[in-house]
Amino acid sequence: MSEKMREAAGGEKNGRPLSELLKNGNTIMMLLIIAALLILSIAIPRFMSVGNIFNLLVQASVIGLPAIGLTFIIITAGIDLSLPTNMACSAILGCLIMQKTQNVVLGVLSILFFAVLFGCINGFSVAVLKMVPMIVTLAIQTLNTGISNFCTQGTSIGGLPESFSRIFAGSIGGVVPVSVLVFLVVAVIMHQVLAKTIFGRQLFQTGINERAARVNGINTTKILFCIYVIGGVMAGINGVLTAARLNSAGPTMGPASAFNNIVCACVLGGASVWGGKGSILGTVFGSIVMAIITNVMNLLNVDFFATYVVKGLVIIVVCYLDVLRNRVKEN
Amino acid sequence: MAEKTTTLEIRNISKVFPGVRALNQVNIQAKGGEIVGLIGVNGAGKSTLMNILGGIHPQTEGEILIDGQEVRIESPKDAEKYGIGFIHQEPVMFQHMTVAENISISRLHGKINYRELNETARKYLDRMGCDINPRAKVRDLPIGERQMVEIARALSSGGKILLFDEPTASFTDAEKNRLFEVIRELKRKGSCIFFISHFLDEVAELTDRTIVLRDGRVVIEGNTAEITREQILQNMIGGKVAEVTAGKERSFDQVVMKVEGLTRGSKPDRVSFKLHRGEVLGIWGLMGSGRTETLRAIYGLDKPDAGSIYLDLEDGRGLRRVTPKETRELFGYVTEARHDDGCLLPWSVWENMSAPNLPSYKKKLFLDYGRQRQDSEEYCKKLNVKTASIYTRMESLSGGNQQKVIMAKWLIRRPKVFLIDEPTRGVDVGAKAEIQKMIRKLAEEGTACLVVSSEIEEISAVCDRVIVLNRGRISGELKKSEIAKEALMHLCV
Repeated sequence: MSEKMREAAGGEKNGRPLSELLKNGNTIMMLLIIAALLILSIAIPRFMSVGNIFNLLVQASVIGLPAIGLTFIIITAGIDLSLPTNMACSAILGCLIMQKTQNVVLGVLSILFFAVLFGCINGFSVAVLKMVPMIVTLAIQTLNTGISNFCTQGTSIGGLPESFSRIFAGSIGGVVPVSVLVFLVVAVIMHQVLAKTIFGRQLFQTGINERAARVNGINTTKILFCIYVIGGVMAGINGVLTAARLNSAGPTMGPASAFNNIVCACVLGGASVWGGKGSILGTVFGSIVMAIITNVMNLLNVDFFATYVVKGLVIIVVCYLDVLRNRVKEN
Repeated sequence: MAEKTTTLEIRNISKVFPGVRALNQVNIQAKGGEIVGLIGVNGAGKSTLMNILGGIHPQTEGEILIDGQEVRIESPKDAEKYGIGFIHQEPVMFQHMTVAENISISRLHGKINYRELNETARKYLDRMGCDINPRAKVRDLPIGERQMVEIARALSSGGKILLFDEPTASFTDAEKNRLFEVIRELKRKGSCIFFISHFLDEVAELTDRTIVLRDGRVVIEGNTAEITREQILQNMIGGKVAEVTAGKERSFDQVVMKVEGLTRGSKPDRVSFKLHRGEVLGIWGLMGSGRTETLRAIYGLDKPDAGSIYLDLEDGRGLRRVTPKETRELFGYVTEARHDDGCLLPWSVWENMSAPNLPSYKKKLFLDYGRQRQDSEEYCKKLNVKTASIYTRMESLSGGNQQKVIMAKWLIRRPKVFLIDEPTRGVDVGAKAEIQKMIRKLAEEGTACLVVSSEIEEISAVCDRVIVLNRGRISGELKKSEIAKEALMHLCV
């Protein structure tokens, strides 16, 4: 489009309704969620029960916590394939320590420590050694899976102190699950970080144009390192909550395939795999949508393996949506 | 030679690009066993002419005759067919393949007989007097030897007319001498050679005939031995040398920045100078002389191999050595390529203006957005940025206004030293004058500015002093009254 036509269109609002609509993905998503909830509550009687809604939100938190981490990473056009396996691996290592010492505080801190450690390895490889994120995190994914299966021999780590699951898998007032509360608190904090701090603004600059960001005096190496560490922290928190809920830790709690849900949540929420775009609010909505899809398939008794087919198709559609959004912007 | 000598005749060749007449009725004749030097400033039409011969662009009018036959060269493949070999400035090669594979690259298909391949390579390398191993991987060769491989490639595909496009730009002296020997050897064996360069001494040393191009025309042609340096210079820059607006001489006493022995590879190479309070210092040089590299090193983006920057921070301690981190915080740097690394196109005007200054807008844990927008409004007015509002996206502004926004983002931080690379490239005439005036005004208010520009008019309009770069080194310095085309050209060719 020529400069003149742009100016004629008022410059500020580019006068392209479709792009405005797609840009405001969050409003669309909210409407979609509400519509889906209405239809589902009529179609499936059990759906609207309080128990199921919180169950759905717990599922959303399992997807959403790592998705919040991935949002930071995806803004730089990076990726972290190791998020789910990092969660399982850290939970297993931490739970081993907890099982041996019967010390909940030490156990929880260990889980977080290992998760951050893997995040640091990812961050260092990408930011300092300039390795390709896809390959590095795939390697860490493999490494995580290896450690998980080696330590557990394919089973799971049990015999954890009773207070662990009482605290982290309990519910506030017997209604609101702790994991849902933690998810919300983390989402609020990370939203502030992304939207309102120097770090957040510098992260977006790095994602939009790394060379320009460097000219603007930004230490892009530091930014890149930090986001993978944030990914690790999110995997760690998720690991604590999930292990507490299962009252054990095993390799199956974070299969590599769980990454699909996570990246879908981000892209549905407006993050672009091309970098430069993303919001925490969008990612939270995206996680809820992904949880609804999973939940509905459970309630409808869809064959477990068939759910993978559905999710695979969802990813294709969502990624095409991302291409479409970028194409609208290009023209 | 047993073969009859090749002849090349270029008749009335013109090339029109949208809005530019790059070549205008050019006539050139050359024959085998001759080295023709082609000189001209950037944009004179040298590369266009070579691209026509190499089959990269077709000519708009005129004809090319090889051995008396008219030929149509429509693709590099055609050029190869007619025996024209193009040796690029930066050798274009398959890094992970061997020398022999690269030499025979256009004939590599089906089953490859490696022994034959290596023998072919050996034959052509020998003809040039080169002892490069045909089995070596190209990525392991130094740049000078890659050039040799490129020449061998041109020879092996039957090249009789060889075009060298500024081949020595990134060479050491030894590599240059080696290349000259090879070119002379090829001449003895009957090749017709075109040698493009903007280094007068190289042309004088190597060539038999010299052709000077200016604004797409041949302006002077003659035997190299008979043509003087002065004649060439005069013709390169056009007729009589006009004195450009002198402006009044200003004197400076307070040194703000001292650069000492700044070196990074071959560009910049031991660059040292002083910059004063309120002074606009120009850096001039031809393409590839290391202007941008010097600015990047000063700003602290590329780590120098040696050298230091000293700064007077006005804390009474005088000049003090500063780190790249400090210079990145204290300086402003308008880059040469606006769209590449100058701004964030999808972001709005105010976001771009505050982007490098975020730390100064910190309010407790968060950012003060109100103050960011306030500053943007203020600087939009100050610099007369024509935009619907500060919320307009950068990509919908015109080039001139984008450039003003980029200037503004650095002015907001009140830079100690303002580095400006090509301040008015791709900017319309009106904005150009405004930006140049703005630089003058900044200097008069005390900001030290370092301006790189390829335009002599711009340099003489805004600068108080100019240093000239030639192959990464400072080759001279001119006061305001001495800034003139001729003097600058003398220092950089």
